[in-house]
Amino acid sequence: MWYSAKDLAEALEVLSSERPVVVGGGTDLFVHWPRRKPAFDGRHWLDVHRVSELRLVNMTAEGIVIGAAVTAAQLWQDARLNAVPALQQAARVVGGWQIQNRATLGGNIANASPAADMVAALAALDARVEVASQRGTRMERLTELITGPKRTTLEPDELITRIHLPSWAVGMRQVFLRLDQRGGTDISLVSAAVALRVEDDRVRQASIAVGAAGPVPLRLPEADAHLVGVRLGGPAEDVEGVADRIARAYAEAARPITDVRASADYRRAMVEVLVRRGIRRLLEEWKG
Amino acid sequence: MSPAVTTHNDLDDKIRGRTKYVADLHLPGELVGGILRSPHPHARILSIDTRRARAIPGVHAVITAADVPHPPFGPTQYKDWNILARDRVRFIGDEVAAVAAESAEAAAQAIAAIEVVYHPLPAVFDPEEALAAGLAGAAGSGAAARVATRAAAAAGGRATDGSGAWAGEPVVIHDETPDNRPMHIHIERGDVDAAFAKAAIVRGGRYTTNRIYQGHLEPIGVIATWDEAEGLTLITPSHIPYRARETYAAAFGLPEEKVRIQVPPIGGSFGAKYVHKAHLIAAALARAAGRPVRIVFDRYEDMLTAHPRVPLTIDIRIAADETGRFLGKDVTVWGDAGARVYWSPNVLATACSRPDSLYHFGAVRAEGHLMYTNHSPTTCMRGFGNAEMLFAVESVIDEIAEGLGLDPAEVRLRNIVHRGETTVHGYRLDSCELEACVKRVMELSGWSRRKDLPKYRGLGMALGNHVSGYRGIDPRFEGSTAVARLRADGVVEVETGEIDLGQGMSSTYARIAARVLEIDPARVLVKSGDTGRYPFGIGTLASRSTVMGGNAIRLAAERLRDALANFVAEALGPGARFAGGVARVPGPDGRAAPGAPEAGEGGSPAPGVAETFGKVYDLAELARLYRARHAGDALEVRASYTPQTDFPGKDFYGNPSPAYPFAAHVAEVEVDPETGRARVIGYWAVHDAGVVLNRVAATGQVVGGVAQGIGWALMEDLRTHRGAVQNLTLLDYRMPGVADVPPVTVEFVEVPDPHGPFGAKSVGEVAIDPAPAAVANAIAHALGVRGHALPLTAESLWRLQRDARRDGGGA
Amino acid sequence: MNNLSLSINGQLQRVACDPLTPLADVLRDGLRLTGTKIGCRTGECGACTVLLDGEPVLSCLLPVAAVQDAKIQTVEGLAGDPRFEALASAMDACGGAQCGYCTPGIMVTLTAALRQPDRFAPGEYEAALKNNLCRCTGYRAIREAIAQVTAGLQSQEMTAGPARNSTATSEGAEALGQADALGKVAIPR
Repeated sequence: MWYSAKDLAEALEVLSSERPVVVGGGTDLFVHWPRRKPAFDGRHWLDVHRVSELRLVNMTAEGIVIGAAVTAAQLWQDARLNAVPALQQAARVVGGWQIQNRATLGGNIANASPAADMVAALAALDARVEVASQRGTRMERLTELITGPKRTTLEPDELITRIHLPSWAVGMRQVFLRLDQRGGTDISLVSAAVALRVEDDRVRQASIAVGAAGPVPLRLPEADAHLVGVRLGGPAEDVEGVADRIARAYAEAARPITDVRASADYRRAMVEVLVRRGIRRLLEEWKG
Repeated sequence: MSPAVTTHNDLDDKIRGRTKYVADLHLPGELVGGILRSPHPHARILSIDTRRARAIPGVHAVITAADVPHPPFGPTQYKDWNILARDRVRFIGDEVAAVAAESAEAAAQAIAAIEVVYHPLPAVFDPEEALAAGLAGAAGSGAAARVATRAAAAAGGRATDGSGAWAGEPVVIHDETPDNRPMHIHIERGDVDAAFAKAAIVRGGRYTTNRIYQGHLEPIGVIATWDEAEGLTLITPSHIPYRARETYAAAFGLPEEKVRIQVPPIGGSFGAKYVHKAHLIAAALARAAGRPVRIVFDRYEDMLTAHPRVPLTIDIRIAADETGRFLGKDVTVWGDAGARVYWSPNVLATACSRPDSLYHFGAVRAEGHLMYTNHSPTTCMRGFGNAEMLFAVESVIDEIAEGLGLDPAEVRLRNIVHRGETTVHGYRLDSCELEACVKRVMELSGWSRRKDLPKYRGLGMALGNHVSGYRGIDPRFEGSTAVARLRADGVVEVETGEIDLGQGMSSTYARIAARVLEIDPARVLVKSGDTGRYPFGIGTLASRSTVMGGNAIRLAAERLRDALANFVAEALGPGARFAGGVARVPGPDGRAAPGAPEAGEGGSPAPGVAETFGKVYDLAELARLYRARHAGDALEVRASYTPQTDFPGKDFYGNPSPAYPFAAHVAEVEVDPETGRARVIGYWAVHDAGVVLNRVAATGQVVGGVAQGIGWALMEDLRTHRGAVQNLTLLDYRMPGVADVPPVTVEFVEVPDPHGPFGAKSVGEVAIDPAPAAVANAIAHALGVRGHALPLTAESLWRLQRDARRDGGGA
Repeated sequence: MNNLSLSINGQLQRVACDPLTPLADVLRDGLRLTGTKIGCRTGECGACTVLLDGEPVLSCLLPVAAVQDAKIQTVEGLAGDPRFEALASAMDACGGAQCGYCTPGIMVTLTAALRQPDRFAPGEYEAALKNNLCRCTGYRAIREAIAQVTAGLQSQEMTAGPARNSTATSEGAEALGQADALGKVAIPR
């Protein structure tokens, strides 16, 4: 049975009673559909892309609230979200335009692919995920909601409704970098999002996340902290030294896999390259 | 006055989505076919139980080897095909059984319900190991040791780290070929050992080329019908339908006339759509079910059973004197045919010989081993062995230039072939503007800046040659036949046995016929693609269509023109003349009507002209007059073109093609030194394709070939593990997107070839021949280290640099 | 099996099918709109691109039940659209199609991009094509076609002002580059 919910209450009711597969844009679920179909025999489906509560973007005093059914294309097309360029950059490299017109932020999270680009950007911005069910709502850090490849803490009756970005993330210097292998649609071999708050030519806050280099987005707040206090315009070696140190820390902590796309060795080395580049780009080349 | 006729524009139909490919066609009562494939790379079939499958509602036929004939047959001289596997499967994807059902779902259920018991057998995947694995079963394994030694000798003196050794049980893939080597060729001219002995420099090594998926956007498909009286009809995009007909007739024991192949528009092939087992299986299902059967692969099945480019392992050495003049070339090539022979023998023979007619290498020697393995069979793709070997040859030429401190372009110019020469293998070069191509591509690309490029930027050059039809395709004959007919509406209909696969063949043929007849090309309709209606054709391969088919079209158009001239004189009086696409009758003062339209303006006379100066008849009026005098029959002529070429004998000597195209390419790349990712940022291609008849199409062929070459060199690879393809999606088999292909500058050096129609030569395959090598040479220039194995992915270039740093010897 | 109603090319169509059937199959098999092609079913090749409320999407990944309240346009339904027509002429003149299998998808994507000039800067229309693969052309002729259309649209805006009517657009199409004519080549006799 296919349910198309008009509002959140209806969606939660169907979730509670039917335990359906939740469909956002369908860009992951329906890949190679005729071959996958037998695996979903007898399942119910809940289409949430018309649920108005899930389609809003709100700028609040606490930060930014983005509905789970907002598409990647809406993310990069919404001028208000220029305040979170890492997320916009990630949204613009997911698939191509056609995919971006359907792929939703909530779907990208629930799918819990280690290579999910928007997830890496959200992790660096310390996103919290609002989850609802008829039992109530809860907030969970994105990096805790995702527990492994294709695994989350979501219960069968739960739905991701909104993604909250903290106010400190708004207007930070930030960049999303990914390594892929062609100009057509591709999957990240490694991705990195770096966000820095710079005041009075000093880094006051730093937040980095690495994607596709382990079962979940990799964050090392203790390593990020080495950036705090670094002075812009200071000796180039200082910046380079800190960037190198942090990049190496991420590379060492990464738990990449070897697959048909790349070896673990290479992915680990690329973690270092991307983190270093992200930091240096924000410190040396940022044109806000 | 003739009615206005708008002829068919196939490009406009494609653009608007009106073109019907095989997947868009349906026959009444058709069933959906499905194929059960082997999950094992090599196994004995112990039993097949189809009872559960037959019981599934909607299933009309379930067939196995027991239900089909088993004559020896195959598309080439190697008759190792079957319709369905009997007793043994030889690769993952080998066809074991098939079903026809009312729906795809029922077919899938039935396939899943067939129970097969297999006994897995040892399998072999490496071509060198395959020889040893086969010989391991023969008395004594000295032969295997000899082969390994020979390979080591060819590899520039470098040991080939024990390749060719086989410790396991013997593996013989086809019992008729106990050494697993269906073809073993030697080509040798001159004293190679003496040449190397006196060389100032020798460079070489082992180069490997990868398993390239043709990447046709339209998956393989077929609709088969079987009728006892009419025989077998296949609707399928094959661009060698007559050879396919012959192959399939042999498979079913039918006369060729009882097999008809109708070819809908082809959604890309590049070598993938010659002959295909799916055609045979659909035919067998249609016969068993008594209903039409369609099989249209999805991408997964298309890639799972893809018959990709033949991967080659090339051990090469080239010797030169101190001025950079080549003295000798020695190659050993191992080709992985997979478990059945498609067109791999021809690919291997091309690799062993074709570049020797691009450069004067002095003494040349080639040994080619075509090996059965337990991989899915491999076959041809655009470039056909030549592009593969050129990757090795052009890489080594750059190393020689570097070793001698010479400009790589200069080394090439010192050794290239020229017009008027006969090459070492007997190719007669009656036209060749290769030198002009090299010089022009140097100008266009700014070759002189090569020495001043910033770090991690590189410029690489590579040259290429090809044929325009190849005499060796069919021992019996070569050539093409065309029919030209004047339709009642004044349109000239031209029929050919050659096949358009999107390369612009029909539009080129229309231009050729129009030029002969001095009419607008829009008034020529080119028809092809039905073995039951149109003249025989060898097919669109070996870059045949422009010269072979084009010459036949030219001859037929000339015959039609002459027949019209005779008819005009006979029907309209001795003063009447046929010229400019119209017949003119002299006016009262004895002069022909002036002001008659020129070709290109539709062929109709301006109003009033006829009344004033005497009558002008356009083609529609002539058609009516002709039919009135010939019992309604249309004026129709037929002509065959047979080239003056030699069938290459056992020694591979002779002039196999009437015309040879050439190309000089330069690629510019930028490599990210930290990630290894290379991007092609500039590309220049200068071609000698003779006189260009269709500039838009010819340019499109070159750019398309270059794009495929870039994908080949940088990102494409069907990765296999123990015979299973690992990357079965277009996500992980990466073909270039728009951002991967830089602007490509294309120019032609136009000098007519004496044998091509209006001086034209081929362009389709020579377009890709130099491309992987040009990109590889640019990368080697950018990095100072050279990759020997395609593709040169980011990771492989990262490793290459890392290893060079570790060895301390890198630049 | 469900009965669904769909708005396709401006017409209401009723189809009876499994709600999970990909839209591409409903269009092709149910409605015989075969201009929408199936190349990969994994979202890479773009041959199945259609417009959903004006935005390009991949119809092979779209269960038909998800598009019941949307306006769907296929390549067949774009005929007559001034941007589509200008692009069609330019693609024809430039040789933007060879085998043609990817071409309808590219036409749909680019028509949508040309309708949204604020999303794609004039030199960046090819960014819209990331989700479309072409194996034949190497993309150059497609780039040329885009350049001709955007140049035509710009010059038309300069001469005719912002009003975009079909007459003005077809003038833009007229100004497109000429396909090669045999006569341009000097052929020795």
